[in-house]
Amino acid sequence: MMRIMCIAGLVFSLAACGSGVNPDTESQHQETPVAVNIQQLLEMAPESIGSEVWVSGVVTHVCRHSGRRCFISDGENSIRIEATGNIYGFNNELQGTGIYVKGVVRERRLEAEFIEGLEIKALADMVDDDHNHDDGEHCSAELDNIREMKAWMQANNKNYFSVYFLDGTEYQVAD
Amino acid sequence: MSSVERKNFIHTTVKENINKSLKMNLVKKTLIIMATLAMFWVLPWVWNLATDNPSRFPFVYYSSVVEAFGIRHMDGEEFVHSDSKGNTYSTDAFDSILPMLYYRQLANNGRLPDSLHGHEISPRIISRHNFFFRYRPLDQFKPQIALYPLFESMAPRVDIEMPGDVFRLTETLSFIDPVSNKVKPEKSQLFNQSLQRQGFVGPPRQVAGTPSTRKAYDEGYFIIDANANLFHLKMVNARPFVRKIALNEDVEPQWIATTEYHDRSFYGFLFTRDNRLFTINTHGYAIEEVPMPEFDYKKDNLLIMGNMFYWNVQVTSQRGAEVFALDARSRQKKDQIFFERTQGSALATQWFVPLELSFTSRNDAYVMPRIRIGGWQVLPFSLVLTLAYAFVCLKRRKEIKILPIMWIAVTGLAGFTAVILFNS
Repeated sequence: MMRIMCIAGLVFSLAACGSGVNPDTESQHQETPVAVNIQQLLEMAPESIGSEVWVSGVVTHVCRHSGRRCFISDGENSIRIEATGNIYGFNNELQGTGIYVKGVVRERRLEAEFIEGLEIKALADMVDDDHNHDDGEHCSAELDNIREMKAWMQANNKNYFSVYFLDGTEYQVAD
Repeated sequence: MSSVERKNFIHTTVKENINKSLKMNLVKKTLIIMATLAMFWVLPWVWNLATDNPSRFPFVYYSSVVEAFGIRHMDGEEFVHSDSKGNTYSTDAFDSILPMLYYRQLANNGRLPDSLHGHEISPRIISRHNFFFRYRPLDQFKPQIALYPLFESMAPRVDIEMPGDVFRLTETLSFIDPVSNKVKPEKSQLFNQSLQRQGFVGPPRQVAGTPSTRKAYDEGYFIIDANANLFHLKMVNARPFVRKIALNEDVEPQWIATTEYHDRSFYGFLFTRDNRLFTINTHGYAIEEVPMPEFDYKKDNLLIMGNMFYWNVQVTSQRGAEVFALDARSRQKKDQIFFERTQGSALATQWFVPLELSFTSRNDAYVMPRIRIGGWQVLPFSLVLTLAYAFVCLKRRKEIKILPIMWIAVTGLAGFTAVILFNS
């Protein structure tokens, strides 16, 4: 009787060993993707429209309302990431966090006429009688941006200014 | 029957009678002890049921209009409306001084102002910022089923959907398919890695969240681990999101209540072991203290009624009800008011029983024996009862035995009742 009990106990313990989960053998460590930085992305963007890339950066802003957009930066440059593909949205807590984002490079062209219109509007706001000091600083910064765009167009002999962004399809938080 | 046989018969009969008598004595004593213990439970319960008069406190809400507490209390059968400055109001006028509370009534009557303190207000704006938070010790001290659904926080659809599995968190986290009752190893491992990278040490002291789809959005769970560190866990785009939240050294988390309010300014309330209250803010997980009256999380009730201008923080305790009015932005205390509790009759039991036995408490959901021991107050009444027992014995021409007398002196009315019932 004792012998049968011992054998039965051994059989049950062997069966139990087979049904558990061994985290060591089934480890699913996330590999760090090979990613370019934002500076490199912006340099290669004109030739990479429609291509899929991995880019790394620190999240500086997440669109609070829907989380459908965020901006990542490397300190000097920043780029907009749209939530598409497997990304349903970016959570607010990502701000300040480094991430790797995979996405398709896209371009939005701001035509020269459009930029001229922006400049006229910004100048009109500057001379507005009800303008306060703070708004004046904002307009001044906007005008500087517009002038930079125009200078770039002139230097590159183009009648449009390209804004590059990424249609993000997946991302991974940096360790 | 010979004389020897008669003698033996008498000896045996007497011996049997003595044994029977001893057994009866033992049974009687056991009955008296058991009955006394039962009386320790029954007598206070009956007394409280018959005489307890719960204290009712006035309803209080801080007015953004008159900058004082609006007070509504019963006077007989009617409500009386006043404020802490001593003014009285009609019902309509009272609605007007509390637009943050009665905004729907005012909007219905066309009396809701379109701005207050320089801020635009409307029913939509007010309802977005209003909240009610209620805490009772029972919320914390009750059995919990340690299985939690982890919702997708960035769901593609507006409605939150049940995830189809639940997780269990001990030393490690396991996702379990409730249909097959099997662990999901890949998903479990992915989340465990994230928890371990952030320094989580199990088993957790608390896993706090709102495991319901009936909410506007999901912010996952807040976890207090074995080392009293605080973590935020949620599932975003089917991937784990885990953050360790930095706490000051003097903040030791005891319990967390998550809140998913419309304005999304904070994740929930954090109670500490030294009876302080904080909010876990959504901006960078800043921990901000909520000033409040003297509070004991084991015994006192808490009610916070917040709006875009003020928070009413009310603590109800054995002393009474105390309310702080806090500025909603700065959390500075603006005003306070206190209502003393009218003396209840529950304490009267200590005058006639030396201890009370109960099995439930209003402060937790556990059924277990609880003993509250009284003091010297029972002695005068016990003395009266012992004299009463002696008088009864004399009336019945019975011998006054020392053991029942001592039992009554020690156990009061409980022992007296038991002795009278079973010591005939």
